[in-house]
Amino acid sequence: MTRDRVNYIAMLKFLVLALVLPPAAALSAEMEAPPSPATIADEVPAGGEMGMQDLAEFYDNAGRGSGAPEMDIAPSRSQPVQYTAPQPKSVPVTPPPVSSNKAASSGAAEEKSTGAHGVTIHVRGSAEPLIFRKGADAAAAIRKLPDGSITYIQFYGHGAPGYQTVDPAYGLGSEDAGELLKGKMAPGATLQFSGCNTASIGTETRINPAFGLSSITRRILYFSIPYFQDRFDGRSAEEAREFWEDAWNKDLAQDTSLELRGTRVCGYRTFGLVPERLPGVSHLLGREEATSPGYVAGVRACYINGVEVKP
Amino acid sequence: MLYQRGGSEAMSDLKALLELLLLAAVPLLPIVAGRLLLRKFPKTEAGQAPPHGAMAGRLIGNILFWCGILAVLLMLLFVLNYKGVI
Repeated sequence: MTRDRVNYIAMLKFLVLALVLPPAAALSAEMEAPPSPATIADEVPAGGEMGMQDLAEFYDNAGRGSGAPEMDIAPSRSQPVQYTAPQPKSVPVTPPPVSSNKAASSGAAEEKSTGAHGVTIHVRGSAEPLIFRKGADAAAAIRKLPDGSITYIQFYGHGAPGYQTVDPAYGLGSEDAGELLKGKMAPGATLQFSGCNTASIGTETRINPAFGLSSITRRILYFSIPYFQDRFDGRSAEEAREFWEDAWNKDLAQDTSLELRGTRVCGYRTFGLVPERLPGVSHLLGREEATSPGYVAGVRACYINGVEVKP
Repeated sequence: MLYQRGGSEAMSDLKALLELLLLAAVPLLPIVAGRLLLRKFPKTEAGQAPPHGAMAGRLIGNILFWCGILAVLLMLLFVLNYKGVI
């Protein structure tokens, strides 16, 4: 009897370990590897170089931004049905950070932390990436950038099928991203959506049980639950089913790649779990206000012109 | 016509409900299977020879049981992520 109990305790320890370490280690985890600044600088053509003064100018202006959203973040709907979009929940408010990892544009120090999120932009002619905590600040800076100057951009925050937030006041769908970045991306540039479910689950058969669990959870959260919510709100079954069948598996990365021809657009087919975001761990690591994720446990997918390419 | 529409709506709801139940039950299946196996092959008293296949049965039962628990916890983690807690 005692031996039996000891066995179970050992198994419980293993279980706890497996949870604390990357819990979805079984997912084909991939480190996001943005191109190194040096590589970007090497790619700068002699004639098309952007002056450091210009960079500093738009960067400073971005820092002085009001933080108000500059674009319509409501997802577009072709149908007149008044549904709520499958948007991710807002980033919860956490106590003031102990992190030294604040971005320059975060502004007021007395503001409460809104968690880890941000936008990272690599531009031609600059060795240092531009980092923004607020999506609106990043959007303002992007609009001031010369055409073809962005070599890599990453939106980090909460994601949902067809939608991604950067901070609680700023989110974007494929049309918003297309409108914002059209013409700004350099040839061969990469746009990374670092948010959950920002790509569809795809058609590839996988034996990874964590991928299956992620897909099941996605279907429940973005089809089953909203379907019944709509039914309780008096919508017809046909309307609710038609809308959510389309919404639950939307592919933000693929749709955006059709808007930004030639740009490599990547997203996650699964929930992207960032171990350093676990409560307590982020506090210990001082990454509560990180503007880019470190290790992400999730299945990544990339597209160019709507066609899937190797991540 | 109205009867037909009501019938198809009920079918759609039933289909969605059935699907929800099946999906939610997926991570519970290995737990149930593991528990059944552990019951079928109970631990033998010291000195007694275990019945044929008992070791393998208990091993598979334990794997299924704990993988099921892990699956439930992983789904919980996904939901917490969705809710913005993580």
